[in-house]
Amino acid sequence: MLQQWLRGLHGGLNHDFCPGMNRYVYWLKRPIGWVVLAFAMSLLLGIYVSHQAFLASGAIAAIGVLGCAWPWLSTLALRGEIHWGPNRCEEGDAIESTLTIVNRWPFPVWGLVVDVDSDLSSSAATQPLNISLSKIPALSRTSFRWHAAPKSRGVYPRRTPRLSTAFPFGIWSCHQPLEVRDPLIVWPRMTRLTDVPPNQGDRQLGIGGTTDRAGSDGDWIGVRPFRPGDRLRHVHWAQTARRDQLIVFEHQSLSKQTISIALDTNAAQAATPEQVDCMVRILASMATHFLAHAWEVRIALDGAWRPLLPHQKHAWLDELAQWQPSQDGLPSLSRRSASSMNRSSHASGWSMNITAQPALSMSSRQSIEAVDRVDWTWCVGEDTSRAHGEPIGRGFSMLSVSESLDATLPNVWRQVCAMTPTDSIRCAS
Amino acid sequence: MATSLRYDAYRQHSVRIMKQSGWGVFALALLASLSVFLLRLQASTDRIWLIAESLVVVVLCAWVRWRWILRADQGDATATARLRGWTMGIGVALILAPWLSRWVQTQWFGNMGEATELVWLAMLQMAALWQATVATTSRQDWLSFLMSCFLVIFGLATSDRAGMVQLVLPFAVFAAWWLMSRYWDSIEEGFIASESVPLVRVRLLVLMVLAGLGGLVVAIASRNAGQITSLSGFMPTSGGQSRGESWARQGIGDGDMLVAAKDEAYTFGPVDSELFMDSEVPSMYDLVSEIYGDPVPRQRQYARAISLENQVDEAKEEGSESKKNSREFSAHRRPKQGDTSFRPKGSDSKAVLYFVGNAPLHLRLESFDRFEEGSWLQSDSLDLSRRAGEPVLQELHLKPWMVLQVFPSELIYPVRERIATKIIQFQSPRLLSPSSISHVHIDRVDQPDFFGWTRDGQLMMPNRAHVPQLTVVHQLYAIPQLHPLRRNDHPMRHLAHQSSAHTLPSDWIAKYTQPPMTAADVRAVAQGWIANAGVADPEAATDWQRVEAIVRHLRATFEHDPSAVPPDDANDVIEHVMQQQRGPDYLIATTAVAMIRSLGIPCRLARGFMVSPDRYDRRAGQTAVLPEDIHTWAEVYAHGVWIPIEPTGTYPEPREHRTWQHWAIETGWAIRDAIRNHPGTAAAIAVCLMLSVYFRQRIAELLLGGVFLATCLMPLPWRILATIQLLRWRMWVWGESLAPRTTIQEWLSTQLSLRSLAPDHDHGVFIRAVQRMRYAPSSRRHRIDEDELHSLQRVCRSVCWSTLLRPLSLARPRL
Repeated sequence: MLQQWLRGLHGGLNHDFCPGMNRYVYWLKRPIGWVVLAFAMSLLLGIYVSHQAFLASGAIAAIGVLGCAWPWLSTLALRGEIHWGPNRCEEGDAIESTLTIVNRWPFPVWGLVVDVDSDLSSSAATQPLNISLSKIPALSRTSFRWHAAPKSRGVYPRRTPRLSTAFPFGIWSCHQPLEVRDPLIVWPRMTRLTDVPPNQGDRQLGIGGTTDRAGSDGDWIGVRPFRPGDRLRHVHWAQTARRDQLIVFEHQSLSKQTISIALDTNAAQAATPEQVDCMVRILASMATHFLAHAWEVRIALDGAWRPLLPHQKHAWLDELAQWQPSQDGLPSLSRRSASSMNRSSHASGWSMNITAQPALSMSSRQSIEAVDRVDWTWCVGEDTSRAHGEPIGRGFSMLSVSESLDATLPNVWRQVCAMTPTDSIRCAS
Repeated sequence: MATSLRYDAYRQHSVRIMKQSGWGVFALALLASLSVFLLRLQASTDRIWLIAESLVVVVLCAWVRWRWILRADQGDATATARLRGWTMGIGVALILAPWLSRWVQTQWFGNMGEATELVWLAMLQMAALWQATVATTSRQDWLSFLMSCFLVIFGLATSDRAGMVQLVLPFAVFAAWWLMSRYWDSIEEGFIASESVPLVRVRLLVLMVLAGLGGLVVAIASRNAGQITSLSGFMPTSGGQSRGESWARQGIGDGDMLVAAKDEAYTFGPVDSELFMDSEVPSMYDLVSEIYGDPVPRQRQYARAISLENQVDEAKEEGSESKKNSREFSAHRRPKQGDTSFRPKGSDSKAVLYFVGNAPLHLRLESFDRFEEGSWLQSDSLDLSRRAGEPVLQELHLKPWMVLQVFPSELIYPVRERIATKIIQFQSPRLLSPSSISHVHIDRVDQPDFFGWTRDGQLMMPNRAHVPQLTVVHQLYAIPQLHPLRRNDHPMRHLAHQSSAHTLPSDWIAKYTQPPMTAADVRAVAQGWIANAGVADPEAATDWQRVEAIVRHLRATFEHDPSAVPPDDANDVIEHVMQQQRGPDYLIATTAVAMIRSLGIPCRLARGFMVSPDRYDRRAGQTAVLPEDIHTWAEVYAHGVWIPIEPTGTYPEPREHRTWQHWAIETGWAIRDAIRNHPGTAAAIAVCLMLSVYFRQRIAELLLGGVFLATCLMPLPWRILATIQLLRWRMWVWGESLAPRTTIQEWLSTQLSLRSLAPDHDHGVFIRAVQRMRYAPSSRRHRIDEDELHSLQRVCRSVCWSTLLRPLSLARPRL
């Protein structure tokens, strides 16, 4: 009964009876509002009741003036600049942030707060907290360093960082914008994968993986008689001595295989931000993995195919860091990407699709299969019951946003690669 | 680069105390409750009941807060719920307590109880106190704080008790402190470490601040020198206060110690002393005769004539009156033998007058324009009183002041100085004044016709035989600024041919430029002096620079000797002085006038008193002017202003106002001339300076070593501390910084290996001894074992000697 009565009292006391008036009286919720109100009331008391109240007016005015003038003066001569050690990192990487503040006052400034994005003020191990500076000595250049671990990709800071102080009384806060030397670009988290599918490439290129075709790179796969033009360092001297003719090693040759990775933009539009981030992470992980193994990688963002070049890694990762699904209506993105993939893919290339809608993925997969093949589809779902981090069918894997890709993706990928090339790659066709 | 790593843990700790203990808002609520308690106490009929009730409530709240709130286990949900129930119940009981208390008093004890509004206020007080008692969150703290503020303001407005006013101050201070701690608590979790590099070296900053303060003091002192010296009303004995002060020098309460004319006349109140009743007051003529001696009788060349008795008598009378009226001054005198100090008859005081203001100062009484047959005369044809305007009455600071004359702004510093003369024993209608007097004031004299001008341009009181004794004459005078006269490109560079509306007529100027009759070729001599005076280009020099060259030469080479007068039969005193290069001040001044006039520059002889700062009486704040201070000097006429010059070397030169720009320019030119005239010395000084700068660290280290040699006489613990200090200063001298987080062992190991010649074993002993002195308990801090004694002495000695010897080595004394 008492609890109910108290609950009712609490509700009555906290009910907003005049929401329309809030814009005019919200300043009263701030400490400076209380100071102004108390000053006005004490002034009225002094005028109409007793002159002794002027004493309180004086004390309140002194606190108010000091509490407003001190922060204003303190921030007046402060100039700050913020920069990061390397200005590119992956999600979750600890990065050293350095704030340099120049105080040109001949007196120290105390009690400052650095107002930055919460991702830039917290490390992986700690909760977000305000970064505070206890003291800036007089006429000095002071550097503050802390480690931050931004948890999501993007370009930081997302809003202008500020240096603020309400010292000494906390009743009025003054700000000073901080300069940013170079923005911090946080790439999507790229999971380190170890396995690589067998190289079925038939393109003889100067760079790439090795195949067992005869060539002059990689390991030796056999011996043969010397032909004019062979290098003497390839001579197999033991066999030459045994056969009494020049025998040389037969080496592997280099070849390059193509993989096309499409990000289902249509699904990304309807997905949650966490799912989108996860899709981008898978795309970045796969792309970097295949590039590291000298595959020719092409990706499709917003329906347009483009090749990824190893020496342009920063450029396309910067783009992935900022990519957001377009809100423009695109016609049947899965079909569109598939058709474009069909037009541009090579006969020997692999193709992957990354989506966030299992149902759509299955249907689109069938439609895609009708026009072309998709070797593997990654689906990022929120439903943890269906996401085991394992391939749920040939050519299809379900991943969950609630689980770390670093833990699940390598296992799934290992299983994919363990399948025979015919089984794994041609299962969908 | 000196860096310092700091983390202000101590400050956080000190500010955190109140938050951690959680008593801050409770203490504020207690103060607020006290204000309500004072209100209730004022109107209470049963004070003991009220005091007991308040004490019970306070003790209960404090106990609950300490036992239940601050020490409660927040993790236990059941305990927390039970606690919430209890606090709610006790809170309701406390809020109702004042009402219940009144009901008990009225029903059971028959008292009247408290007024209803006081009961309501007391209920609010209980609510605020209980809110502070159970406050654990930030919002509850703020709510309690606001309620406390309301109670205090309400109590202050409705009570007229003095205790209420005295309560506001600690409450305001404590509330401000609480606000500060709140803010600090909110940010202290995010404090991060910092590295700081000073933008300005501390030493440089200190020097700049000191230089700034010094400049400020100099600027203030130069503009308000009078106020600085007197500090009227600031020091207790400076007077001007409403209370009586025995030692006061001025103001309402003075006079106890300054008894009128007891020993010397310090005050000017009604005086009945016999000192002032039957004393003989000397005139200027008497003083000149006493100090300078009697004039040598002139051998007049009388023409053959018939003696008529009446005419001879008239001529004698005229001559005597002329001398006594200061219209003639013989430069050919015979000094008195023996004690020349003047003793006024009938008085113990020697003072002619007292002077208040900045000394030294030339106080002029009369001037002479014509030099004939060894005597200075005032020409009848020159009547400067006609040129001077009539005094105009002007009220300044509610006092009647007379504006006397206005000077050209180029030659006069606009800020005037104030002086006062208090005539004690002197008889003359003329007023003693500086050359450039602009205002005069005598208390309660508001008629301009009280003042007039003599024919030689001296301020006087007409129609009076003399200025009454004990008259205090206040004056404002301007200080000349002579920089324009030294500039070649300034229109005032010519003094010989002055013509403007403000200057004297040309025929009058011609009389002031008429050189005295003398056999010496003073013009050639003057030009020779100018050429040898270090003036860069004598032809391009301005007239004033020529005057300065002559004055400089006279001051440097002519010796002031009051007894070195020409023999009685000498006809040309100027030639005599130039040959002897010595003489009394009036002869040196005469020579200066002759030489300056020979260049065509208007000049005249002035006579009066020289106020000497040596006679300044600090207690009385005034300077006595004695008969011995009678002095003769010269004045140069420059564009409407008579500028005093001092050719006698033993007297200080007249003041001149110089701005810092003038000073810098003139100093620069003086340095340039000195370098030109003494190139060898200048080069040697420059080389020494450069070497000193280059070897500044070694020189400083040598000086340090010399100072620290004295530590050899100290006890060993002191020597160890001094050695550490010496090592620190040597680091400072060489600009070495101390790395952050360096331990004393690391620092000493490095320093001793660099700066001590003692073996490593001794270094280890020294480091251990230092660590013991720093960190050991006080009982063991200064204990030195026998086996350590020699090692410690060796290290101290070695550091000290290396400070002296390392700088002398050719190698750079640091690694």
